[in-house]
Amino acid sequence: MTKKGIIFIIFVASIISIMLIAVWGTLPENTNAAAIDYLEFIEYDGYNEDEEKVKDVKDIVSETSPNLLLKYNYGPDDAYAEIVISLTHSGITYQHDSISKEIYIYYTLDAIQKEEIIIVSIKDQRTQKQDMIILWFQPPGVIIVPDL
Amino acid sequence: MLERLRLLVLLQLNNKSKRFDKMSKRIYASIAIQAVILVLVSVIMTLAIHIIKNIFYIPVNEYFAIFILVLTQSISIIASLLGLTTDLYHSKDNQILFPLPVKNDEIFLSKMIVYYIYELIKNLFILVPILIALGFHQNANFTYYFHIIPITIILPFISVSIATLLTIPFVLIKNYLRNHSLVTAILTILVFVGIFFFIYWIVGQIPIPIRLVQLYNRFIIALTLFMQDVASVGSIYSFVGYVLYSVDIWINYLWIILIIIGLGLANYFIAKPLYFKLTSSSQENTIKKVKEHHKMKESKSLFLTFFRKELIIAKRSPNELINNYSLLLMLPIIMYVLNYIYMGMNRSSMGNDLVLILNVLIVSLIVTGSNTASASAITTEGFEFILLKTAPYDTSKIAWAKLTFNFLFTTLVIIISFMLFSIALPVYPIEDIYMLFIFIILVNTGHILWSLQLDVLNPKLADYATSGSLSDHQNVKKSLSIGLMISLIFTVLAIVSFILIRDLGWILMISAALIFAVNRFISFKTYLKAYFIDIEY
Repeated sequence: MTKKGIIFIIFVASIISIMLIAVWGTLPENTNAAAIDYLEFIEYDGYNEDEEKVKDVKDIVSETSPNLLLKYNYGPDDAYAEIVISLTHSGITYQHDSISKEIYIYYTLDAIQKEEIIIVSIKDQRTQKQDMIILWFQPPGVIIVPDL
Repeated sequence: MLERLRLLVLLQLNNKSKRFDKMSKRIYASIAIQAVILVLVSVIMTLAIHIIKNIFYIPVNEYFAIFILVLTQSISIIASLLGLTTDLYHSKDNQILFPLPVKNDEIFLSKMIVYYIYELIKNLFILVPILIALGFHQNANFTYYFHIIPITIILPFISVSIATLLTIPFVLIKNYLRNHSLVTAILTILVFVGIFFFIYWIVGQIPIPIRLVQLYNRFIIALTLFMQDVASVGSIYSFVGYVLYSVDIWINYLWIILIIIGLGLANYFIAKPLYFKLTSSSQENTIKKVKEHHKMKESKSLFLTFFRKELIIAKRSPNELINNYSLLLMLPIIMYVLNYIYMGMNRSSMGNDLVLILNVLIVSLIVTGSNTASASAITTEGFEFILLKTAPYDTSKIAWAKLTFNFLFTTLVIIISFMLFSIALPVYPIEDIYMLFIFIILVNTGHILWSLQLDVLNPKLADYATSGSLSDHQNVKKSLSIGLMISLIFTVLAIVSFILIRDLGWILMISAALIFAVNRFISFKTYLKAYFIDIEY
């Protein structure tokens, strides 16, 4: 046996120990939580003429800052949701943090240069409740009047 | 000058690479093998990127490519820095090259060229397959593949130039630390403490209660964001990436050329003039005037004399001491990380029992894996041991002195580890920390005694005196194997203690460890008395 061998064994034992406790040493999850009442994106600029949520990403997304963070919320807080996300642009990818209720959108260099418009949809598979948002690079001179 | 440079480069390349006879068929065989390797690596990289994209769900886009460029070139700069430091300033061939009828500048340049060639070959076998695989996954057009060629030629120049500049402060620091071992030891300890606090901070970011699947998702998101952030500030490598994807090609090429010229000028005006001065002061045989003040101290007992000797050795070579016990020094970090995760999970009573059992296993493995210094304590005396034995005293006390030193040092580290652990993770039951501490101290004592006994019975004095190395030392291997065996046996005992007879669990564990330690003490004492006199060179 060598010292490297012992270090390897310690490393493997550490990983297996976490898995052992996760599998055999934890209490079962509570799956009887209530269904959600509402599901919505919470940060947007306003609505377009079709009453769809829109967000201007021109000041957020650039060649040196290609990520966009979208926050959503659902209620009640202790409800159990099965969120599904879809994007209209196949080249642009996303990642979903269900704990923080956040979606990270990763623009490609090509999409930034072409100032692509994308539509992001979220849907709860249990209740079929959904919301969507249009992300666009707002051209200069265009003004969205918020609802009063 | 160019002819001298060419000869110097060929001389060094010939010295460091395989040589084939001219017109030999082996040249063609070698080229064919390398071409096959290139294709194979490209296929492997394509599969790896497929896994990254479709299993880890990490976006494989232009920013991913820039991140890969930053990553591979950072590794290349670090590797070049380490290699160039040796080659430029500490290489044995300097003693041959400097007397040659060439200028110092030419030696400096030739070494940079040799390193550039190595880095070019490395890029050819690592970066090119990655870029081809990335292009394949992104359905890249012809210009993408075309730009790989100039980029492969440009990138090694950048990494070698940056590494050459960095060698100057690196060598100055290295030379300083070589002559100030105490500063090195303090820095090493500070690094360990820094690592501990960094890990403490990182682990603190994990949301409680821990759910492994969600934790995995968060890890992947954090990794992706980190990659994207690195790529978006990738400096020169962003320009290289933009060139690959045909974004403002000529402007970005211009930036790259300007940076290359800047690096070249910096090397010419900073690194080159300092080269000879640093080389001549970095050789092993550099003469330095050192004022030494020795005070002779008379010891009251032979044991204290030997013990003081151990302290002096530790003080003179703290790096060796830290190296011997590096695994043990990692104990608080490993304990904290694992137990934070264990405690963060919504455990059942079975989970609590498993936490205790797994702590016994992992802490025992770390502690018993750290007594290699005891398993080579007599051996490292080498030739001096025979001189020592000629003294008209009970020289077996040297073994007790070594034992005491190793016991005190490891115990101190274990105490600090448990203190840090109890402060950092207050949710862990304090009585279990005390019990685990007593248990580990007893197991460690028994294992030190066993390891030292191995070396008393079979020291390799002659081998060590000849080679000066402990690699492949049988007693070290046996000590580690015994440590593994002890850890497994005590883990089985822990399963019985904490699951079947929970109320008497720690009493049984500590009693067993005490019996083990006492047994090893008696055995060590008996063997030392019987066999120490027979140790021969």
